[in-house]
This record gives sequence, structure tokens and C-alpha cells, in this order.
Amino acid sequence: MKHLLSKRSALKSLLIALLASQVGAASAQEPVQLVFRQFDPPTEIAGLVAAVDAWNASHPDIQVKLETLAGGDTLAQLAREVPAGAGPDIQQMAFVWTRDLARSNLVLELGALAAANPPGAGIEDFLATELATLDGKLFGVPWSADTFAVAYRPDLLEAAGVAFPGTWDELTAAAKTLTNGDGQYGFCFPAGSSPDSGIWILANYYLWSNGSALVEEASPGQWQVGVTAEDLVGAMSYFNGFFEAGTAPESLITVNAWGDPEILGGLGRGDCAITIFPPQTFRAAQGQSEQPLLTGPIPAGSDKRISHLGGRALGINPNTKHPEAAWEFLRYLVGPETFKTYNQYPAQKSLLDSLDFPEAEQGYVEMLPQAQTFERYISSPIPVSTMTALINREFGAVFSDQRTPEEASQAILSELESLLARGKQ
Amino acid sequence: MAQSPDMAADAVASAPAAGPAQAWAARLEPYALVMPAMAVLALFFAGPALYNIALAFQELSLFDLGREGKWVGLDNFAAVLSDPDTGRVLFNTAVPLTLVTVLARLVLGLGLALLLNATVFRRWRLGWLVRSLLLVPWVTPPVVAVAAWKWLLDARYGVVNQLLVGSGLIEQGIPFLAKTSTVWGAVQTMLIWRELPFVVVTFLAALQSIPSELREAARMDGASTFRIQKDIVLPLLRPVIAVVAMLTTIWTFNNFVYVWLATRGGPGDYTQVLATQMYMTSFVDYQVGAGAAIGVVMSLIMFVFALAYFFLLFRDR
Repeated sequence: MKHLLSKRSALKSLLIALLASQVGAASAQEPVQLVFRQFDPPTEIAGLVAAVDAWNASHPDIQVKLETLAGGDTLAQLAREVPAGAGPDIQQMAFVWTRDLARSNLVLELGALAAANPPGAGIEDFLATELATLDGKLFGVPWSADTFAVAYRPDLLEAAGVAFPGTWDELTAAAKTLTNGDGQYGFCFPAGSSPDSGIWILANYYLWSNGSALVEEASPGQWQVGVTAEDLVGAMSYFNGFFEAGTAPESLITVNAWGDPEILGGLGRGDCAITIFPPQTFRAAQGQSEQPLLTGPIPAGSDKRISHLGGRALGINPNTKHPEAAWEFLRYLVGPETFKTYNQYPAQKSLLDSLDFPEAEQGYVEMLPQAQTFERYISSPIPVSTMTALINREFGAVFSDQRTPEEASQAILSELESLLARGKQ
Repeated sequence: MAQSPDMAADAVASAPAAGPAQAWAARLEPYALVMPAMAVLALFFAGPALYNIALAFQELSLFDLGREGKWVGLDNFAAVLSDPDTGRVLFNTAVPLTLVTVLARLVLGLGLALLLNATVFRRWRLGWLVRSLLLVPWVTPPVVAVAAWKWLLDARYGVVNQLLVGSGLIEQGIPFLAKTSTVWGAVQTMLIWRELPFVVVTFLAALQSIPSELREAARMDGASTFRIQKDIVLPLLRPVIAVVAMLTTIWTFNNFVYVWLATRGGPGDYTQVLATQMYMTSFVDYQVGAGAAIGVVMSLIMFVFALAYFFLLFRDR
């Protein structure tokens, strides 16, 4: 009997060992599965898809699934998912999101991973790292960088005998000459009131180039309104002037996105002679235009010529089961291999310096060194999205004759004051 | 079929050989049978609603949803009610969005239903075709419907403006969604077009359930078509009209999709309604607690409306 029992025990042990080895072998062969979520439009990510495919082909042990979510929903989705223990392993983020996400522990602190296995030539080699850090800790790696430039149809300017406008006033004059009353407008821009409307960018370029900003840090930690009613009235009246003069179509008052067919296709069709575009939208417009397109610098104000340095950063979900694998993939995304197919400007300075910009994109080459991040707003107690929504709403109210520039500027000032006061509490 | 607890208890008492365990089981059986339904209701309806109410009393950022916010009592409600914009946003929600579109749907819906109930469609066997065509807007997803309407109403390339310009009625295309004078009309058109079929189909079903003998008897007594509709059909339709009016009012008052997709509350804040305001507060300003307070206020308004509506409508019964 004893002999039989020991035989049974031996058999059991053998079976368990066999099973364990099978499970072990299976898990050893099972590749790590990562999810990478991005929010750029599917029409603009063919190069990124190719880069992810290339990674998957060369890394059978770490397979990545690319997921796309609409830009406007991404932030809220992350805020819901991560506290619930879910979400993608690697997340594309707008530069301006990183600190908000870091403050609430919605992205992983990357200091240790970056120190052990630095990206590219080290994290110092990246643009806009100040936006990726909170209290000296790294929470994101800047991935792509961009700014805006004036995009125009050189043939239309030449036909009208108009020189490229170097200042805001020259832009007004050029738009007037280029508008022919037969469906061709001088200047097109998104003038919608949505919280994500592009007028936010133009309003800030105008204010910054004329020496003001919505809020400013008077002393460390002490924020105040940095713009006067006069400055705001000037900015609103300036852009509203295009609608009043008929040099921009009124239909743009409902357009929020730079890539809207009204603007993007309008440039190609010759309905619009001049607009302002980020690089990827400019390239999309080139694809739709039979005539060549060019870019030039943003118009200068009384103080300077300026644009913003925007872009995308990459973060890792604190819930990921594979932080090392996620970091490895993140390093690949910010590296030169990705940018062979990914049609964006890299945020890695050494990589950016080695880039050959096409002739048509010289406007971006000229603006990148003069571009400044939204850091001046991000550090303030007011969420940038709240400021954006406020500016877009009030500019839209002026464009649609709902309010005068004076009334709208007072509404902006009083709301900024109240938001700053609330932020101090 | 589930028994009531009393019936179950009586059944147990009359059973001659039932032990205490069986008696308890019989008593618990009705509760056990309704438990799954109650659990679903609690999980998917009561739970989120209670969570939303709890959020309304907290100061909580969108980024801190996983944690408990700071309890602030009625501060969020005080902020909503003292906000100078709330009155205008409430008016936008109640009048141009809800009242106008509900009335238009009821009137148009009743008219169309009476028309479609005409015997000519049955005689020519066209009823199925008309009903199918009628459902086209309703089966179109709102996102597609609004996108299509925005394209139709585009100032430069839209079909509506091209027709108006081509017919010489106007010289230049009208940017319907950009002008304060036309934007509400455009949003209302989109909403009514998409939501009208529900009203028509419901009224049509109610009309078809009215016995034809009533109409024939009235006709034999010399009643005109107008008198028949007014004194026989309409009174019989009254309960259906009441329910449809209440349902469409609640759905429209809480609706977010049409305004958001068509205008995002613009131009400026001209078409801002409570639902878009709630979204902006929660997901643009990141104040989830304040956004939840707007949601609770909306629910309370609709609750009071429903109570008052039923009281006025059925006070005679």
C-alpha cells in the first residue's frame, strides 16, 4: 500500500512538474502585448503606422497595438481609465497635458527608467522638457515638435502683385488686395467658438507679438492678469476686421479646426490666398493643391515676431504591467528610426538639427527658433483649457455681433480675475 | 410568474406537510426572483445616479476621479444658481431648444400621422413604403444627420444656399450657423428632422387603434371630417399626445448631441444649453463636482416638470 501511495505521489509530482513546465514554456513564448494610444487624425498617421509595424516585425517579443482616439476625448478618457486600473500602456499627450496628468499620478514617473536607459542622446537633448517635468521629476518624453507658419499660394500673391506680409498690418492690406469678390478671399482662419477652436492660437500670437499675455507671474507663485482691455479690444477688432471688410468668409465663424475642408481645401482651390497652418496640415493641403504652396514666418507685431512651440509627448501608464517594455518602445518612438517614416518634426534637438526641411517648409524653419511654449500659462492656477474656451467664446461672440469688442474684453478680464482669485484659495 | 409575498405565505400555510425550511424558501422565492432585475437597476441606474449626486457636493478635478473630492456642501449648487449666465442658458434650454422643437414636432407629427392614416395609402398598398421612408431620418445616427445638415447649410458650398442664390432669393450664401439670427433655426431644423419620425409613428399607431366604427357612426350622424377629428380622434389621442409630449420634452431638455455637434454652444455662447454647459464645466474646466451639480439641477427641473405635468393632465381622475 505504501509503495502504491509513493508511486501515486511520484506520478502526481511528475504531472504537476509537466504542467508547470508547459505553462512556463507557454509564458516564455508569449510576447508582451502593449497598447499605444495616439489621437492625431487617421489621415495623418500613415508614417506612424509604418513605424509601429516595423517595430512589431523586428520585436516578436514585444508586440504593440496602435489605438486611435479622437483628440478631444483623449484626456477625459485617460482621467477615467487610469484611476480604474485600465488604459493604454503608452499614451501620446499634448505638451500641455503632462503636468496635469502628473499632478494626479495618471502617468508614471520616468526618472529611473530614463537614468537606466536614456532616450537618444539623453533627456537634455529634447525640446520643451520643462513641460514634461513636475517638481523636478520627469513624467513624459517630448516626442514631436511643431509650430505654426503662414501658408500661402505664391501664384495668387504674384498675380495680385502682393508681397509676402511681414507684419499684422501688412497681412490686413494683403488680404484686401487678394480678395476679388469672385469667391477668392485674402485670409482664412478658424474663427469658431468651440473650446478647441484655432482662434486661440492666433489670438495669442497677436497678443504676444504686441507685448502682452493673458496672465503673467508677477513674482514667484503670484499670478496676475497680463493683458489690458485695450490689448484685447485690439486683438478682437483686428481679426473681426477681416469679416467686416469681407476679406475672410463669414462661414469661417463656424470653423474650429485648422484642417477643416473650408480652409485646407480652400487654399488648394484658390478660395483662400493666405492662412496659417501647423506642418502636418500644410502637408495635407499640399496634397490637395494643384498649385504649389509655400510657407513664411508669422506676422510680426509691435514688439516681436513669435509663435508657440507645441508638440506631442509620450507617457507611460502607471498601471502598465510592462514598464520596461513600454519604455523600450517609447525610446524607439522618439528615435531616428521612427522619424524615417513618421512625418513630424522630432522633439529631439540633435535629430531636428539633422533634418532636411523641404523648401516649401522654410516658414517653420524660421519660426521654430522664435517659438515659445505655453509654459507661461501652464504654470498659472488657471487650466489652459479654461483659458482657451474663454478666449474662443468671446472672440466668437464678437465675430457674430453678439457682443462688442469692449464688452467681450471686459468679460474676459473679469473671468480671468475671478479664475485667478479662485486659484489662490 | 412571480407571486406576491402574501400569496406565497398563504400558499405555504395551506400546504399540509411543508417544513420550516421549505416555508422560508417559499417566502423568499418572490424576492429571489426579482433580485436579478433589482440588481441590474441598482448597478446601472441607481448607482451612477447616486454617485452623480454625491459628486455634486464635492470639489473634484477630472484628474482626481479615482479619489474622494473635498466635500463642499451646497457650494456647487450656489455657484450654478448665482452664475449670471445660468438664467440665459436655462432659457436657451427651455425655450428655443425644448419648447419650440417639442411643439413643432407635436403639430407636424399629428398632421403627418393624420395624412399617413388616410385610406388612400392602404388602398394603393403604399403604407409600408411611406412608413419606411418616414423612418429614414430616425435610423440615421445623429452624428451623421448633423454633419449632413451642416454641409447642406454651408454658406459657400451648401445645397440650401446654392438653391437660394440660384433662385435669386438672396445674393450671397447665408452662414446659417454663424449668425445669431439664424443659428437657432438651423439647430431646431436638424433636431426636428431627426426626431419627428418617433412622434409620427407613435401617433400613427394610436390612430390605427381607434375603431373605424366610431368614425363611421359619426359620419352617418352627419358629422364633418373636421368635427370627427376634433371631437372623436383628438380626445382619444389625448393620452398618447400627453405621453409623447412628456417624453420628448425630457429627452430634448437633456439633449447634448444636437447643439454640441452643430455649434458647440456658439457662435460665442449664443446656443449654450445646460447639457453643453455641464460638459464644458466637467471636461473643459475639469470641475467634475460643479458639472455634476448642473446635472442634478437638470434632473430636478425635469422631475418637477413631470410631476406638475401629470398633476395638471390627470387631476380629474
